[in-house]
Amino acid sequence: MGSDGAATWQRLIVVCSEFPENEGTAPIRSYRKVELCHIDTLSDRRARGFDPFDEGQPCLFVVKKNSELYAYRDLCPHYGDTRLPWKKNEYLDKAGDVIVCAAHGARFDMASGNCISGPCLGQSLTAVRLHVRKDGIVIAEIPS
Amino acid sequence: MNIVGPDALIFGVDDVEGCRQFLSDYGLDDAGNGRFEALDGTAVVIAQKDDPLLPPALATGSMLRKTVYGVAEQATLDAISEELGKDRQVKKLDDGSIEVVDDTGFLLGFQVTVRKKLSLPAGRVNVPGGSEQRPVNNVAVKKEAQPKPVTLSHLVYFVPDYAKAEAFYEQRLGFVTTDRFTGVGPFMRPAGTNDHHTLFMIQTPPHMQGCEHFTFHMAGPNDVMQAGTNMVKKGYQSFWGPGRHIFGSNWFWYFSSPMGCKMEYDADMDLHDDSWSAREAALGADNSQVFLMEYREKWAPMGPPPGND
Ligand code: FES
Ligand SMILES: [Fe+2]
Repeated sequence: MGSDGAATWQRLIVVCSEFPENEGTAPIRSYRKVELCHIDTLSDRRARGFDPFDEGQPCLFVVKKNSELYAYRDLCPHYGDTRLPWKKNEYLDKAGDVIVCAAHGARFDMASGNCISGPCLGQSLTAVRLHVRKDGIVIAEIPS
Repeated sequence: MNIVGPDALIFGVDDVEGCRQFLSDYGLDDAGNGRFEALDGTAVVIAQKDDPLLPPALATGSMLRKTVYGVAEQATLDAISEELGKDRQVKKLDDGSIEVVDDTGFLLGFQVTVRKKLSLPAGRVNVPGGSEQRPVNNVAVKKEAQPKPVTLSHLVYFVPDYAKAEAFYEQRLGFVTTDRFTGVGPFMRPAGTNDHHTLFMIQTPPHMQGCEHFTFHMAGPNDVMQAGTNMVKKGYQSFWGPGRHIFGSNWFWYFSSPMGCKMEYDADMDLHDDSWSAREAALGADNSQVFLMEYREKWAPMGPPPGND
């Protein structure tokens, strides 16, 4: 890992031990908050994979549709531990309407992550919570 | 039935341009009209999914529309027509091929094979003391090599009832089961080839029916490694491999593709004849490969910096 990678780790990883909205209902989980990119660099009906921990492969992807952002772990529920795209950042169908797993063609609703056709019908992608900071930086909360 | 193996796979795809680029980068030659050929003329054919010339899609939405088998000669084609005509419609197409639906709903074509006879040099390796070495001063590796797929090797179906499907291919078309995964499905070869399998089937619920993957033979393991590495460098997604399977002994490297199934490179598959007895094993990681490597784009031995567990 170059000095860039090391700097990324120091800059990005903050461990958050609680979220107010979860109080009293959910067990306290810890999250890593990671900066992904500036919101203006994401285009509508396009997806982008992110590799915030320098693992060599994206672990999550963000899609934008009608100015809404959605993020999911880059794992297909069909085989459970394999990635979706056929090429870097190719997570969507041609029209940019649905998320597609290239391995066997499963299609997922963008907003819910639910599989709408294909081998994992009835299963869903794992959602990743996003925040957009005042300065426009998109932050993902990844359970640690 | 002297069926040689798959001659072509026809897909109705969402992203024609993406497929064109992918299939070219995989190493197939763009022969026009959506046809992408290996060295012997076997091919993948793609068309826009709503193209009226395409056969209809399966209800599951699988992009694979048709599997076209090559047969040795017209007599085999006539024999298949007669046999399958007993209980189903056999359609004769203008190009002389025939079209039928198998017992689980896949559309099949049969034609006198388009496979060209190839004479490729045998891949030699320098075994110490071996009798057939690579000639002296003959350098094995070129960094910039772009190995080409030789011939369409096999395809794998997700099927709702493997026993029914196996019986169809065995009893009606003369395929032989070479090995099987218990309760999952058989590896099968038609009578016209010694390849360990040209068809493998995996039992799934009906809503999964479709193509799990398909594969072209490369000239040898080095070509699998180098063609796969070229794909990774172009940004394509390695799905499984490189490695070497146990059943069939074929080297493998699978890539996700825009055809809604995986596309594999293989090499050095076992050959069998009728004296072979099928083996059986439980499906699982232990019985799927003798070894598995994983390509890593970036790696360093020191892990994350201290203090950030
Ligand atoms: S692994 Fe995603 S559809 Fe099969
Ligand atoms: Fe295979």
